[in-house]
Amino acid sequence: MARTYDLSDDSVVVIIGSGAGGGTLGHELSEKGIDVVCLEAGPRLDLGDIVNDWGEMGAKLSWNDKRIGTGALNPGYPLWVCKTVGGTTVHWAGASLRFQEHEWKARTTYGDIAGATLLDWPIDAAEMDPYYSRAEDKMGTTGTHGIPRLPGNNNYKVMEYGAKKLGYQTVHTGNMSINPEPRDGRPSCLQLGFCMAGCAIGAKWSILYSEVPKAEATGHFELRPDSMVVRIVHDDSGKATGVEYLDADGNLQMQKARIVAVAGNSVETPRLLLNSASSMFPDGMANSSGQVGRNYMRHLTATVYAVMPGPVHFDRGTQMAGIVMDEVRHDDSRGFAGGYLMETLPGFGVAAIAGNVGGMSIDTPGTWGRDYTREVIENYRNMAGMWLVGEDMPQADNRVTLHDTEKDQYGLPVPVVHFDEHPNDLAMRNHAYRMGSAVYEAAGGSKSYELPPFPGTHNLGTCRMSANADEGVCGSSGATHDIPNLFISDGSQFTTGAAENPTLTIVALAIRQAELMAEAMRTNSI
Amino acid sequence: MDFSHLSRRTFLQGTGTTAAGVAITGTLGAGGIAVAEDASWAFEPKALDETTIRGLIAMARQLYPHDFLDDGPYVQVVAGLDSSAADDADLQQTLTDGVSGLGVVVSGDASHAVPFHEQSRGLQLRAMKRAETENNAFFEAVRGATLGGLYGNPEVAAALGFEGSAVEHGGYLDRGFDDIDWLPQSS
Ligand SMILES: Cc1cc2nc3c(=O)[nH]c(=O)nc-3n(C[C@H](O)[C@H](O)[C@H](O)COP(=O)(O)OP(=O)(O)OC[C@H]3O[C@@H](n4cnc5c(N)ncnc54)[C@H](O)[C@@H]3O)c2cc1C
Ligand code: SF4
Repeated sequence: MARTYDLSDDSVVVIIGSGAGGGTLGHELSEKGIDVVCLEAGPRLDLGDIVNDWGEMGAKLSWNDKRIGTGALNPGYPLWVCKTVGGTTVHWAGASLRFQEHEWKARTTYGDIAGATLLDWPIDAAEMDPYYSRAEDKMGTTGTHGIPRLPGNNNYKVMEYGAKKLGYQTVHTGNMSINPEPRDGRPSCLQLGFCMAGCAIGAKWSILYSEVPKAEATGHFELRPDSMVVRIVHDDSGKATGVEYLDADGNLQMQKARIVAVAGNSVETPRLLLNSASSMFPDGMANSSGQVGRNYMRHLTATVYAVMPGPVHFDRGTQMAGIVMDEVRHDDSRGFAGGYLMETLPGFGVAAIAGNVGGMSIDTPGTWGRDYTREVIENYRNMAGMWLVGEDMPQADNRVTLHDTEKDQYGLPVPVVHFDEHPNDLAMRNHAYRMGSAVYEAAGGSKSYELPPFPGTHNLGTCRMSANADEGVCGSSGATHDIPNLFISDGSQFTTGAAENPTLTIVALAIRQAELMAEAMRTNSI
Repeated sequence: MDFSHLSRRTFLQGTGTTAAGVAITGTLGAGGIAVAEDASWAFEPKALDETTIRGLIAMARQLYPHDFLDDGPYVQVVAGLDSSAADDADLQQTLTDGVSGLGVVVSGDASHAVPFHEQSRGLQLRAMKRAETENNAFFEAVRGATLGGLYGNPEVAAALGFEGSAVEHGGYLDRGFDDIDWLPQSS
């Protein structure tokens, strides 16, 4: 049964954040008999709290604490992530793709690109292969381990038809961590169409109901929801000794720890390290390199919506219902490094389409008025849509810093997230827009709308892995270069972003980290 | 998730509005625009005066007109704005001043006061374009509320092809998730 631990118990591993990285790490460690206290800023919901309503779920699940975006980011809402037990795996769509082999070696493959801070990962594809396989098994990923692929919905069929007409070859319904048939205590997908509001029946894998209950059943895992960690503390030798957090009643508590693992997603993780500055670590913890918060990546993204000659009803069925993979290769002849994917994406309801198409694309009769409603909104049922997602270039000045004066509701300095695009990103997006629109044209679309990125959903890289201690924050196990018992356990570790949606890789890295951490504990090297 | 509004406040507003109460009486394609004066108000104003309310109803319709809708859903949007204004004195001021600014017909140097809801369609559009540039905070407050309130209204959304909550109907597995019939078979 779920256990509880004393605040003064300094034998536990404290994990900050219960999302893809933290939740996986916690479950894996607990299965090995290692005691874990997981502190999660958000509340614990259950399936009964998940309803098919975009507005209600956005308010229930999202991280809405104040953040400031600068550069090419939405200034008031730079990121779209969750603050809830399970983290952003409650919202996620379920696309679960492995990196391609060369993407582990981006610096070697792409060469020296001006303005980009590319590095090779200190791990490679062969080493990750077994961890990917375990992650796919855990998550029930379609197209792996004998699990069939999902059936395609209308939005997929439009994309598939257009893509094949253009000559694309690798077009299918993806590798999705959504059950096509009952598996692992979860039911099969009923094609509800609200995956990114949370799956109300639990057909989609999520830390919330897939990993947390199993971790609790080991008797080695305590989850404390509504617990916002405000500081990591250390002793005179510089070793992490515990964390301070605000509990549900707003009281400051101090939990001791043998190991501290940070998994707050790519803004909160570096923010916490920066907020944990002390006289010994005046620039923040694990930051002797000055790399904490730098190289923020969020994938190259864009959306194409198109008006088709007949009804599509793109809200029906899995939201990421299929994928075109032909452009994901690295091929210099296209004029950019790295590659991108096309994945179906519907509209999140009429209000969102009515606001986003006019507000974000340029090719509409304004944003309001009779011509706008006729051309755009009254064509809602005939719309098809895809999301374009590809590798973006890491850049040193794309970074998370702390605001000088503004504070959030906890009294902590507000994070400022700065992001500007690299010329490679712009060249890739141009190609992606052209090919995405061509797919719909080939399927008979009368008009397509190109939308720039939504607030960041794939946030990566702000405490990156590096072979050399001066080029990143952590080494290949995720342990920070400076402090051996302080780990980075989420998407912040990413050395480079690759083109693929990141969660499968975050989960695979967490499985691997649990093994390395357990071994280090057993041999008393931590 | 409407990301087109660049402030977090409108982002939350735009996605969080829920509609209740007034039903749409018109049906798809039935035509016939009900004029604002004839609207039967289905709510007790809490904060705004009659001229402001009538003006906002006319403005909401001009922002996002659909021939198949009567005034009901637009009235509901304004009822939502009225209750927000009851808790927010700044918003009340913005809306009242905004509509009174729309109630002026301008031609060259001459101007003449005509309540917005009594203006012709073309004059209303002129006044709104003027407000969009000169009083953008007001314009966007009403536009954001109309986007969220009108299209967040389940009956309006359904009329446009968004079918709403599916879990109580067992999803779309047996209700047409793959029923597309106009596409040639892909090879
Ligand atoms: C709409 C949407 C769709 C997506 N679809 C896909 C997809 O199809 N495929 C894919 O691979 N990825 C997808 N993603 C991205 C994916 O969800 C994230 O990349 C992944 O969840 C990130 O994992 P993480 O562990 O880094 O952070 P998260 O999962 O975000 O977890 C971080 C957790 O830490 C908590 N936390 C933060 N700071 C503190 C603190 N100081 N104290 C305590 N707790 C804290 C947060 O509340 C949160 O619960 C999607 C994301 C969104 C928003
Ligand atoms: S489409 Fe499938 S995975 Fe998505 S919400 Fe519905 S049942 Fe869940």
